[in-house]
Amino acid sequence: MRNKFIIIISIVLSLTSCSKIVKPWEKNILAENKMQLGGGDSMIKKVNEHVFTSKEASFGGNGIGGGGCGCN
Amino acid sequence: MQLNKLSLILLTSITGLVPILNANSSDEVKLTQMKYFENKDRMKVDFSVLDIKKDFGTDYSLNASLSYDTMSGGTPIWDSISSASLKATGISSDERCKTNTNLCQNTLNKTDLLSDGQKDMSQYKYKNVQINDKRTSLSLNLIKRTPKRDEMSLGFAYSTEEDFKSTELSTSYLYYIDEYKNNSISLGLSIQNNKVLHRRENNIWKEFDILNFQLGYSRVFTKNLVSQANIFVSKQSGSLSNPYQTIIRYFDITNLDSPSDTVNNYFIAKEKRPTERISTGFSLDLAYKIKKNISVHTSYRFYEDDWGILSNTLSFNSYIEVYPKLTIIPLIRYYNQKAANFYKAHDSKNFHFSEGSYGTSDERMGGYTGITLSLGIEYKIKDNIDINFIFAKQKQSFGLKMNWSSIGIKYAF
Repeated sequence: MRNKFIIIISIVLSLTSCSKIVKPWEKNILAENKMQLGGGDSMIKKVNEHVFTSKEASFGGNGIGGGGCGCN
Repeated sequence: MQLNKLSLILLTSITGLVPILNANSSDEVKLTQMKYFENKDRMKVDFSVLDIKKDFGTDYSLNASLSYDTMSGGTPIWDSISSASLKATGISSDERCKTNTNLCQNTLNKTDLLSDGQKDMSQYKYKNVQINDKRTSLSLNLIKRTPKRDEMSLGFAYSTEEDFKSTELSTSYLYYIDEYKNNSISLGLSIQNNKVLHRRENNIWKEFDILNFQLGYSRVFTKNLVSQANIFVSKQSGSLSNPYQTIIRYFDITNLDSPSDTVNNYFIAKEKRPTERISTGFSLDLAYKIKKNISVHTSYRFYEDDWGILSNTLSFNSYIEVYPKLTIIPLIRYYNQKAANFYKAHDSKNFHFSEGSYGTSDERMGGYTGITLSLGIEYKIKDNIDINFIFAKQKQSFGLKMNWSSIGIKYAF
C-alpha cells in the first residue's frame, strides 16, 4: 500500500512539471460536464457504478466530496 | 434481500455527493431507467432514478436523488438438495449416530447450524434460491460556497427495504489553496447506520455502522488537463455477516465420553464474518481534452482491508463528439480482486469450514477478475434536452456474465 501510494504521489508531482497557471477565464473546457473528474457525466457514472458496487467487495475513493476545477 | 446492501448504500451516498464536482451552472432534472441481467438464471434488476439539481443564487446548490430498485431472480447459496426448508432438530442423520444413540452430540444448541449432520454431501447442493425485493432510496446534498468559493457540503441519505434500512449523514469541505483555484484539498466524512433483518434468528434486527473518511488533492495542470488523488479509510463495525449466505461446516460430533469412534458430519451453517473491518486505499483520476471533440478519462484505484481483500481497478473512458449533437462514450474497466482470507469457493477441493471459524462462500468475497465494456451514446434533442443510452457487459473470471442497458433524459432549465 505504502509503495503504491508513493508511486502515485510521484506521478502527480512529476505532472506538476508540465503545469502552468490557468486563469479563471481559461477554464471553459474544464467546466464542461464531460471533463468532470470521476469519469465525466454523472448520469452515466451512476448507472455503471450501480452495478460495480453491488458485485465487488471493495469500495471507496469516489465519494464524500471531491476535487474542484475552480469553475464555480 | 441482502445481496450487497452495503454497496448499494455506499452508492447512494456517492451519487448524492458526486455533483459537487459538477461545474455546470444550470438547474437540471434527470430521469434514468436501467435494466440489468445476469446469466445462469441469476439476478434481474430494474433501476429507476430521478436526479434534481437546483441552484439558489450563486452560493447554494441542492442535489436530490430518488431511486427505486426491483430485484428478482436467483442467488447461489448452500441449501438442501430437496429445497425443503432447513430445520435443525439437533439429531444427526448419520447411521452411526442412530445405531449408537450415545455416540453423537445433540447439535441443537449450536445456533449457527441450519441443518442436522450428514455423513456426506449427498443432501446438500450449491444452488440458486429465489429472491424478490424492492428498494427505495433518497439522498440530499446541500452545497454552500464561501466568498472565496470554497465549498462546504452537507449530505443525508436514507434507504429502505423490507429487510434492510440505512441512514447516512455526510459532510465535506473543498478548500482552494491558491489564488487562481488551480489547487484544492478536499476533506470528507460520513457516518452510516444500517439495520438488517435476520429472518433465521426470529426476525431480529441487527445493526452495523460505517465510518468513512476521504482526503483529496486536485490540481489543474493546464486549461485542458485536471487530476485528483484521494486517500480513503473506512471502518465497519457490528453485524457484518450476510444473513442469507450459507456455508458448509465439517467437524467431529462425537460425544466426549464415547471415544470409540470419530464421527465427522457436514452441516449447512450461517456464514460468519468478523464484526469489524478496516479498509484503506487511494485513487487517482485524470481528465484530459486531447482534441476539440475528444476528451479522455483514466482512473486507478487501489484498495485493501484487514479481511485480506485487495483490489486494483483501472478504468478508461472517452467522450468523442461525432458531430455537435452526438457524442459516443466508450469505456473499458479492469477489476481484479483477491479473496477474503475466510473465503472458500463452493467448488474448491477444501470447500468446508471447521466448527466456529469465520467463513463465507459468497462469490463476491472471492478472488476474481472482471472486465467491463460499455458504450454510451448521448444525443442532444434541443439545447436544453439530452437523451443518453448505455449498453454494457461484464464478464467475471468465475463465469458470471452481466449485461445492462439504460436510457436517460436530462432537462436543463
